[in-house]
Amino acid sequence: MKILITSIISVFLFTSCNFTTNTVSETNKTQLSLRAIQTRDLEITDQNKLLRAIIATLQDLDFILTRVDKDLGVITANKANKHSLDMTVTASQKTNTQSAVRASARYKKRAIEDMKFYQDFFINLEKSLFLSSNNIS
Amino acid sequence: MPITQQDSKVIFKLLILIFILSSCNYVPSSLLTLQKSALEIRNLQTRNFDSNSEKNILKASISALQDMGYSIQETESSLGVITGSKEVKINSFFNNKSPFDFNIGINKGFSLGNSRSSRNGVNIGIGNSSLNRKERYNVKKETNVTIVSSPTNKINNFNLRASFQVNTYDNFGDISNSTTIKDPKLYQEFFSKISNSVFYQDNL
Repeated sequence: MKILITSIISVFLFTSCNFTTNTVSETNKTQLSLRAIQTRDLEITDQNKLLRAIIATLQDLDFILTRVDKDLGVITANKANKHSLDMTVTASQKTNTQSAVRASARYKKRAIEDMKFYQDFFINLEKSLFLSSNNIS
Repeated sequence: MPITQQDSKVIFKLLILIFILSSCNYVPSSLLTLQKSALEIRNLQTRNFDSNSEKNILKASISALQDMGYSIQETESSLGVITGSKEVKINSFFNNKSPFDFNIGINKGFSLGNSRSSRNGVNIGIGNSSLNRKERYNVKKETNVTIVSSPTNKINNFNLRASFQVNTYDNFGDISNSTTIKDPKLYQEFFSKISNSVFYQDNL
C-alpha cells in the first residue's frame, strides 16, 4: 500500500504542471536558449513586406489578428483550437541585409517552449515570403 | 500488506491515468501545420481590385463591415489591416442544453421531461434543460474577421484578403467550437459589397 501511495505521489510531482512556481520572469528554459528557438534571421530588409508576409502566414494558419503596430513591428494574433493559442510576432531590421523575426506563443495560458512548434511557424513564414516575392497570391 | 498481481495491475493503470491527466505541457503537433488546402482557401478569400489608393479599399471594407453589423477592433492602414467582430447570442430556451429547467430532488425519483439530468431525480421540465451548473451549453457565437489589403506589382491594383472565423462560447466562457468559414458564396457576397463601395470611394 505504501508503495502505491508513494508511486502515485511521485508520478504526480514529476508530471504536474503546477509544480513549478510561476513568477513574472520565470521560464523553464534559459532565456537565451528560448530566444534562440523563437528567433530567425531572414534575408529581407523591407519591413513592410516582412510584416505583410507574417500577417499572411498567420491568416493561412487560421489566426485572427488582435493587434498590429507597424512602427514597433509587433503583431499579435489568436487562434482557437479547443484551447486558446496566443501568438506574438515581432520583426526588426538586424543588419543591412537581414531582419530578425521573433515569435512567442502561449497555449492553455502557458508559454510554448517546443522547438518544433516554432520551426513549423518559420517554415510557413518562409513559404509566405517566397509567394509574396514572386507575386503569387 | 503484500501486493497481489491484481493490485499491481491497478497501480499500473492508475500511474498511466495520472500521467495522462497531469501532463499538461502537451502542445498538439498540428497546431501550426499548414493544411493542404491552405492555398485554395487563400484564393477563395482573396479578390483583386483596381483602385486609386489602398486607403479607398480599406474604407470600402470598413463600410461593408459596418453594413453587416460588425464593430471594428483594430486598424493599421500602413499594413492594410482591419479586424472586426460581431457577437450573436444563442437562444437556448428550446435547446437541449438550456439553463432554464427546474431540477428538484437528488436521489431516486420519477422524471418528467427528457432532460439529461433527469436520471438524478425528479425533473419538472420547462423545455429540456436543467439548473445543473456543471452542464455546459453554448451561449454565444462570435464572428471575427481579418481583412488585409496588399498592393500587387501593377499600378493601382490591390489584392484584398478577408478571413471569417466563428467561435462558439459556452456558459463557462470557454470556446466550444471554432471554424473558419470556407463558403465561397459568403466571400462572393462580401467582395461584391466592397466592389460597389470602392467604385463609390474612387469617384467621390
